[in-house]
Amino acid sequence: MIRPEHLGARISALVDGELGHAARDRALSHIAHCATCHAVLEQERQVKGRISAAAAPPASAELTARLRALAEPGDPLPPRDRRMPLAPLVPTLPPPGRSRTGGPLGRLDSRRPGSRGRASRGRAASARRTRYAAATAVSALGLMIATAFMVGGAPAQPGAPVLPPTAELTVEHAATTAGLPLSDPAFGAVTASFGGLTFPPRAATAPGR
Amino acid sequence: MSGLAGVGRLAPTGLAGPVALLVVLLGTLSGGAPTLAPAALVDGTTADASALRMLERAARAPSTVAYHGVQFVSAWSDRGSSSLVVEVDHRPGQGTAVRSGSTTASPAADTFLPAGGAEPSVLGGSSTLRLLATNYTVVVAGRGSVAGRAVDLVEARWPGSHQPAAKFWLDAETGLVLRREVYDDGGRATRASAFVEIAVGSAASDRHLPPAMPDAWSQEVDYSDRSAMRGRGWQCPDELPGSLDLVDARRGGDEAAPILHLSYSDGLATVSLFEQKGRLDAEHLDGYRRSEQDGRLVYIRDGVPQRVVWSAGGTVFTVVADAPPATVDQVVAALPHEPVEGEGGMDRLGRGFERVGSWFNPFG
Repeated sequence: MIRPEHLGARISALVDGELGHAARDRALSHIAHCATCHAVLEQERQVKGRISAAAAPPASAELTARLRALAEPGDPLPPRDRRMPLAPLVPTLPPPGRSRTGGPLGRLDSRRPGSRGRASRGRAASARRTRYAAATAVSALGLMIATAFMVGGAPAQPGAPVLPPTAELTVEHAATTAGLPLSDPAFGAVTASFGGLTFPPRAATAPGR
Repeated sequence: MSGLAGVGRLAPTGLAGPVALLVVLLGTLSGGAPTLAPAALVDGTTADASALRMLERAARAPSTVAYHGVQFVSAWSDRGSSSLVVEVDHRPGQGTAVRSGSTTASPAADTFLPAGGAEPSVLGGSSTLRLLATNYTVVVAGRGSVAGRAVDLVEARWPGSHQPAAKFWLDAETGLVLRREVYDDGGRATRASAFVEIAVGSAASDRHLPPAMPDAWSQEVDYSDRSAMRGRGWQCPDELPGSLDLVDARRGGDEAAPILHLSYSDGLATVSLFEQKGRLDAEHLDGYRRSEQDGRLVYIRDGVPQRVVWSAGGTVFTVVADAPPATVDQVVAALPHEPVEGEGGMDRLGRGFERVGSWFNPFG
């Protein structure tokens, strides 16, 4: 048992180099004449030496993965704070590092200050899933509307492309109507010979006309 | 040649006031026949039996009377106008040779129209005249002269109106139509033809006949054929807007690509409706202008006849019309059309969803 006049707890301070200059001299003078304190000092030094020489324990694989995950890209930036038609359906989460106030979850946190337990993280994850599901549904709906708009644009007509033989049809018209009473032979002949009295295409209308 | 100034010297009775006086004065000074007002003009709505007899005589005249002369033909519309001078040489029982010089709008062309032409397959010739008397008020409107010959003026008026739809100047001696004019419902002339010089009683001698106009398609389509074709998606209306009745139905093309030709008339206007299966290849349709009206997309070639082409529901429609533009518009509107792009967004979306749904319908 160490006597009260011995160094006691000051031996650890001496080993750690935490004593002042005068106290250190007094401690070293005492140890020079006290075998007990000298022995305790040696034990302290050996223990400290072992601790310092010991290798750092290897980190577990799970811990490493979790730490690496922290360095990966996070969620996209939250949308701007503006009214959206689906805003009541899609809770808005503040970006990491921002105060959780103003949004529905922020209000929950404000009612329970400091609550960062499993339940709170579960609600956040659930809200995130809801947000992703809503965003996916909105995207799918938009894709469907865009597809329907594109597909419904040009009316699809069945059949092969046909260029009607209009010259032949015009002659056929003249051939059948020439037999009608009071038909005009001149018009019929003109129609049959070169497609009737065609009107030349109009020139561009002059300004002011 | 007496020139255009001598054409159609006339004193119509429907005019009033100074205009009528001026016309009568001019007619008298130029040696025209005195004005004659038939009793039917008192109310202006009663068909004149004598007028109809005159038209029937005019329709028969070419089968017995030879003539040759110079005639001008003109056409007008909101889109432009065109005129041509032709030589006409008619031989009863043979046909009519028409020779035209070249113009800036058309090359020279000689055509021979065989006598009689194609008899209407649905209605006879006399029935077509009856259509005229049914759809219009036919009256004798006066006398005058054309190319130095005395004529009777017969008018076909719009129902319930004094406005003429057509005027016929009939040779008093032979009944030949020496001048005719057709008007739209606004009273504007849309086409006219008149002899400026004519010799009646003989054909032009020692002139060979030009190539004949091709015959009409020989395969007629009767009532039962049309009923069967309706069941296969062909449009075969018995009548079209504007009091146009079906007067002729034929079939052309070949077995693989048949063409249905339906002819309509109200006794004055004639409209041909052609149908082919397929969709219109508009990119290669030269000389036609694109027109969108009331949600309908059509391609139009202006002139006489007017031609309108479009496709809908797997059928290509071609309308060839010798009719007032308003009548042609009514006819085109009465036939099927596809909606034009640029329609309402909801219609387009609805059709798109329907089309996408059909992709997943195993029974579609």
